[in-house]
Amino acid sequence: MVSTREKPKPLTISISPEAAEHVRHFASQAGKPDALLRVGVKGGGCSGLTYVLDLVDELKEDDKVVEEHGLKLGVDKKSYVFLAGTTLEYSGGLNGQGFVFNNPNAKTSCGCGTSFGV
Amino acid sequence: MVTQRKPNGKSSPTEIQYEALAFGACVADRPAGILRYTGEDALDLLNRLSTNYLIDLVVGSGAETALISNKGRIIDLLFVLKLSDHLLIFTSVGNETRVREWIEFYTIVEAANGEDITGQTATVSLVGPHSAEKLSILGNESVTGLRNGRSLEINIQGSKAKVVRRDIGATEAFDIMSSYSEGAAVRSVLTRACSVYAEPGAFELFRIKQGVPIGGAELTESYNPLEAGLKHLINYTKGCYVGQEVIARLTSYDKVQKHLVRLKWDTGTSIRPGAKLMEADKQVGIVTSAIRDPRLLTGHGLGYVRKQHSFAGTILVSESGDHIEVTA
Repeated sequence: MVSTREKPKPLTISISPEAAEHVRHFASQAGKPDALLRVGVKGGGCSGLTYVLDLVDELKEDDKVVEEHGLKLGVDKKSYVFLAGTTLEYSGGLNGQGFVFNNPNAKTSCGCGTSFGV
Repeated sequence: MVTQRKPNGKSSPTEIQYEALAFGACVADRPAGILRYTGEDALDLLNRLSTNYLIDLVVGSGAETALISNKGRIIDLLFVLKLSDHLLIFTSVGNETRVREWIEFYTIVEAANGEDITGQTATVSLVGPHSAEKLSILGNESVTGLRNGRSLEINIQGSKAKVVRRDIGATEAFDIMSSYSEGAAVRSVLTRACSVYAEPGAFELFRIKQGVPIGGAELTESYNPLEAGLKHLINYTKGCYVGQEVIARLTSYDKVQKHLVRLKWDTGTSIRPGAKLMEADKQVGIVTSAIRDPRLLTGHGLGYVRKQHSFAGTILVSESGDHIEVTA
């Protein structure tokens, strides 16, 4: 019997084209057009863990690096376990505007969406 | 409820010790776990993980704060003391490993390193309204002006010690911390000066009558800080912390269903922690701590009671039919 199941994709972090575009826009606005995006997770927030987004001049040596849509993204090594499989998107809808982490590891999240629990 | 007086006779050791705790100055052991945290993010991390506002603590000062889960349930009640290059965190006795693991789980990008120093520190407490003046006579510096939550380095007849004022309810209490090598000398000086040492039974009676909850009895994951009477340790303006959304919702919609109360009963009644409190054949509460007061031949306890039955003067019934009064 031939299995028709797809081989699971490696868990990585991806960024949507809209999110990449907005990162570039904010970097330009901040006067740092060459800045890199660094993401991580810190303790806190209603649900326990909060996303951290930073524009930095250089990534840390042990960051996990992802390049997509012309954007270089660094993920804090210790945060990676909480972020693997996440897609960083940008929502411009009426219900709110900003970066959204579509994180499959998040079992709970708070009302404002800035923190999550695993 | 009629309060019986003890028949005339000699005071028992528990009575003498209780009197010293409540009205004098008494040496006591107030067991706690102690964690030492270093790292520039340690205080900010604790501020994000617990209910009180800790960021403004100055060196030498501390504050109580409740560590809660994202469901708003109590993990522990902490006392966080900020010192020049590290923090000391007092946990409930035996809960230090869990608290450390809890904090470590949330330590991801932060610079914060914890160490359990419970076994490396000798701590003895001085409790009672006259403890400050007693300690001031024994040490090289007065502690009478030391406010609750503050600490001071002093020398007690040749031994270095850190004095931390941590009141028990409304009663003055000082933790005197020293190295293990100097701990016995400090304890000896205090015991000689006060002449009364509170054994665990007397200390427990005092704690219960003060209405002070402790980890493992009143402060467990079965309850939230609003139920446990810890609202004064919740900062509603500092922003997000773990469990904040649940606490805000409980407060805004007045959804707190039960309250921690003090309880009293006649000694003839045998009430133990876990005893159900009934009203018209329906359970409305549970006893979490219970002890006998040998002075007045009454029993005292703490327990959680449904809000509508939590007012002073309410009479509830144990499963065996004995009357139990809610006193506060």
